[in-house]
Amino acid sequence: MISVNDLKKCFGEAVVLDGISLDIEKGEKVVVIGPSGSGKSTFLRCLNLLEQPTSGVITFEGKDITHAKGKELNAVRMKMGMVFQHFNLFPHLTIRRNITIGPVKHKLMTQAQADKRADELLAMVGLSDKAEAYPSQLSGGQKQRIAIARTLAMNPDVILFDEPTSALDPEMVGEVLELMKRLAEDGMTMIVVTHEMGFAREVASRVIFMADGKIQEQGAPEEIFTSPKNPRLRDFLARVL
Amino acid sequence: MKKILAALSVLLVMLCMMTGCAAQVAENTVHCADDLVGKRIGVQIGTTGMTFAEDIDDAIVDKYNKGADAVQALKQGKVDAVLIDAAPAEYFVEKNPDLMALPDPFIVEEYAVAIKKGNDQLTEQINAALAELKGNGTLDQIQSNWIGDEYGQHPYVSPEGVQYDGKLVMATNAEFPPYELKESSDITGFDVDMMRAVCDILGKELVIDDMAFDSIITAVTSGKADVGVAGMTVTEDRLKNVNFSESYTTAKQVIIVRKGGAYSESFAERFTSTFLDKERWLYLAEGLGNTLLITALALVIGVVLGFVIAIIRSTNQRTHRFKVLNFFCRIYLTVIRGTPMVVQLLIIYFVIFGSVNINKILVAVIAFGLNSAAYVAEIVRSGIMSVDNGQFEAGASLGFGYAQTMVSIILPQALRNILPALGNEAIVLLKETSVSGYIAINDLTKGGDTIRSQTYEAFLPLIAVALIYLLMVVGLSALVNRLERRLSNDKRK
Repeated sequence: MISVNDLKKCFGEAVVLDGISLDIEKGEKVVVIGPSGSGKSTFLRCLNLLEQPTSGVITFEGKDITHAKGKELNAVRMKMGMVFQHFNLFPHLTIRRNITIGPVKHKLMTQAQADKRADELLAMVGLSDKAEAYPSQLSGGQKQRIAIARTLAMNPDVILFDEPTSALDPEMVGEVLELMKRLAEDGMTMIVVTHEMGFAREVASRVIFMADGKIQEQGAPEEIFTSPKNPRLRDFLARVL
Repeated sequence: MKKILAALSVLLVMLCMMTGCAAQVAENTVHCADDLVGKRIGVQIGTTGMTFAEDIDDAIVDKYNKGADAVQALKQGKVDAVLIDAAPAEYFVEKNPDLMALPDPFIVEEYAVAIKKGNDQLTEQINAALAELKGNGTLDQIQSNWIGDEYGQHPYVSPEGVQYDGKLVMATNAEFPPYELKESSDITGFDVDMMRAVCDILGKELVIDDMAFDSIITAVTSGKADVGVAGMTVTEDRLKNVNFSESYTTAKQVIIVRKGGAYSESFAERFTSTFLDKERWLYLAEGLGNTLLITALALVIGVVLGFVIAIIRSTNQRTHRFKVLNFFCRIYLTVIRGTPMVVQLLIIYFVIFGSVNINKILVAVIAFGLNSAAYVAEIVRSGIMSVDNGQFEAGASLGFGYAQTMVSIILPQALRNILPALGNEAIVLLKETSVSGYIAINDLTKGGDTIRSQTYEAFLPLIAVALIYLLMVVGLSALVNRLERRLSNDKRK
C-alpha cells in the first residue's frame, strides 16, 4: 500500500532521514519507536507530505506521490488520515462540525449525512454527549478521541498517528490507546509513532526501531522486545522498559 | 452606560471651569502701526496681511487658517493685534463689541482675479467684463451692497434671459467676509456677486469650490479651478504661479485690537447663537452625516483591501509564494504607515486627482480607505500568524488546499483574535476623518469650525463636536464588545 524507497530529508545541514526504505501492506499495524531526535515524526510527516522529502520516492496505492501538488496531493491526504500529538482540533467549531467539516467541504456527504455519520463515530469513541460542545470544554483524552473520529469521518485507507498520547496526562493515555486497539482489531492500516512500548508489543504487526535517521532494526514485536540484535536497540529498550 | 455618564460629568465640570475664567485678558498695548514692533500678531495664513506682518521687526506672527480664528485668539489675549483686510475687519468689529479697528490703515492694496498661467484668452475676457461692469456702475453697486452703510440693500440679480454655455469654476475660501462667506449653506459675498456678474457677461455658469486659502493658487495652476477669487492681492510670488486680471477693488489692511472693558454673554445666549440662530445646528448635522459616510465607506475599503494584503503577506511568510506581490505590499505599507494621514489626503486630492474633477467625499473615502487598509493588513496578518501552525496541518491532513484551510479554518480564528484591534482601528479611523476639512469637506469638525467662525464662540461648538465624537466612539466600542462576546462563545468553560 505504501512503499518508501531511499527516503532522505535534510533541514539545512542537518540530515534527519538518511535513506529509509520500507513497504507497508494493507492491514498492517506498524509501530515506529526510537529515541527522540531519531527522525520518527519527520518520517511520518514525509509520508503525507507535510514535509517535502529531499530525495527518494514515496508510492501510495501504486502511484508515485513524492511530488504531488494541488488536487492530487489533497486526494492523497484524504485517503491518508493523520492524528497529531497536540490534537489540532478546530477551536472555533463544535465537536460535531469538527467531525463533519472534512466530508462536507469535500462534498463527499451532505451536512445531514455527515451529521448522522458523526453520531455513529461519537458513539464509537464514547462521546455522544459532547456533540455540541467546543474543544476547549474537553479533556486531553477526549480531544484526542475526537481527533481520531474526525480522521475516521474521511474513511481513510491508512491512519498516521504522530505520538498520539505524548501530550496527555497519564490517566488519559489508556482511553486513547484502547480506542486505537479497537481500530486495529477492525482491520485499519495504521502507522504509529509512539513511546508506549506496551501498545507496540500488544498491537503492532511489525515494530520498526529508528535511530540517527535510519531504520536500525525491524521485525515482529516479540523479536524486537525479547531478542533485540542491534546494540542501540538493546540500549534503548534497557532505558525505556 | 456608566462610562458615558462619567465622561459627561467630567465634561460638565470642564464646562463650568472654562466659562468661569473667561475674563482675565491683558490690556491692549497696540495704538498705532509702529506699536506692532516686537508684538505677537495674528493673521490668516496666505493673506497679504501675513506677508506684511512677517516684515515687521521682531514681531511674532501667529498664522491661523481663518480670519475668525485670529480674531478669536485676539479676544482671548493670545495675540496682541490682528492684521487683516479692512472689509472683514469691519465685519468682525461689528460682531465683536469688545474689539476695534485702528483708524489709520496699515497699508492700501488692490484685489484681482487669479487665472491659470497661459490662459490669456480668459484673462482678456475677464478684463473686458470688469471694464464693462465698472463702466455701467454694476461693480459699484455690488460693492455698496457688501461694504459700507448700505449693506444688503443692492443685491446683485442676474439679467433676464442670460444663456449659459459651459461652466466656470471659481476657487475661493468662504471664511473672508464680506468678500466671501457662508450664509446658511450658500457661499456668497462681494467676490461671488462680482464673479457672477462677470460670468453673466461671459455666458458661463458660475461654480464655486470652497477650499483652504493657501490651496487656491494650487487649484488654479492644476486646473481644478478656472479662476481664484478670494480677496487676493497681486504679489510677486503669486505672479510666478498665476496670471492676474485688472484689479476689481481696492482694500486696506487694518489693525484690530482689543477695546478693553468687560463684555460677556450669558450661557443661554451663547447656546442660542451657537446652535439655534440661523439653524446653525444644521452644520453639525450635515457634518456628522459626511463623517459617518466617509468612515463607513473607508472602513469597507480598508477591511477588504487589508484582508487581501494580509493574506498575500502571511501566505508569503508561510509558503514563500507571491514574492513580487509581497514586495509591492511591503512598499505600500511602508509608505502609508510612514507618512501622515493629512499629507496623504492632500497628495491624493491635489496631486493624484489634481486635474480630475472628482467628488471630494469620494477622494476622502479613497484616501482614508487606503490609509486604513495598511493598518488593517498588519492587524489581520498578526491574527493569521497567531493561529497555531498545527491548524494548517490539521486542515491539510483532511485534504484541504491552502485556500480552503485559510477560509474555513484559519480566518475565522484569526478574526476572533483580532476583533478588539479591528474595533480600535475603526475608532481611530472615525476620529482621523476630522482632517477632511483640509480638502474643504464639511465633516463634523469642519461643521463646528464653521459655526465658530460665525459666532466667535470657541467653547460650545468645540465641546459639542467633541461630545458627538465621544458618543460615537463609546457606541462603537459597545458594539465591538458585543460582537466579541458572541464570537468567543466557544471559549466559555
